[in-house]
Amino acid sequence: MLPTDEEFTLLELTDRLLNRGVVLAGEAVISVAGVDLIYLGLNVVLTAVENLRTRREPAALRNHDAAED
Amino acid sequence: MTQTLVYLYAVLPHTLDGPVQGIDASLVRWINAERLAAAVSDVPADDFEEEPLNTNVRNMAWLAPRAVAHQDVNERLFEASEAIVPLAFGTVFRDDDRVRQLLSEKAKQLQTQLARVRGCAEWVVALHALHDPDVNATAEVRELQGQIAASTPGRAHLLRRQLATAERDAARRLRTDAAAQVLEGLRVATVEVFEEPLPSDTVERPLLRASVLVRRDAEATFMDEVERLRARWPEPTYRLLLTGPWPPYRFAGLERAAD
Repeated sequence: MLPTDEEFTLLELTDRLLNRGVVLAGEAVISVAGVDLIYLGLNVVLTAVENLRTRREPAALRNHDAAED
Repeated sequence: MTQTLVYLYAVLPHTLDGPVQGIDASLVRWINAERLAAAVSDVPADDFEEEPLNTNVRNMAWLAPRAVAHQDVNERLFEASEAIVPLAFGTVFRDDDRVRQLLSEKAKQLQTQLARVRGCAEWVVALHALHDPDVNATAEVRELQGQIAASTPGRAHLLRRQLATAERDAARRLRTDAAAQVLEGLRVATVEVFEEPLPSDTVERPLLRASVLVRRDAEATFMDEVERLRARWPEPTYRLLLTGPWPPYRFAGLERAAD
């Protein structure tokens, strides 16, 4: 399934927040190492996406779709 | 009293005014050093010590509201500031001194990162192939079709198998070409392009996935270019997904090739 615009936003945001965002490695006393281990498959990511979505008005996670401009 | 740790959201060139609510309804406060300002809030050690944290991030019910709070903070700081280095979720320090130490030790790197993304936002573009592109116009396919039409049934049968291969190859070439040209179009309309790795096979695999850094005062031009690319590779064969503007999670963290 191709993600919808909203799912695309949440997937990419999740990817940045939890997977490959900026981590000042070695500097933090604690940082979440190997978070990507939880992203073994799409199902887990989509669960996160669903969770984010149900807890949130879509407007707060901005989904700027140029087609609607 | 509950023990607390210091959670770091982002580093900015200066402190911002006004209350911002962070994770677990804590208030964001600032730690300054080296003409840098770190946006932090206090979080319970019971949840954010290394061991519980690494368990908690696997629990979506725990993670989701906190990841959203993290993003909310960075979104607000991003909108209110010219430059921001937003951190990934889960960067936690023992106390304010450790954060100050980080700002001091990494001052030069952080200043470089801030300069790189100043006045810019991050966007993400993905190009998907929804349906097979029309390969009938390609030379190889056309030639084989012509040969088949002029052949005996036996030879036509053999040629049809060649045709199937030629059609697959042509479709692959057209898609690769579409991805390359969209990437090229993005390079023209943005400050920087980072070609993202493609997701694993379990995901509907895009032809191209790219983060781009766009000047906020040039967003209209960027949108025009995206529309041009959409029109050039239209649905229902292709779909170009776009999301942004975001705090520069990716670009503030990338090492410069030249560094």
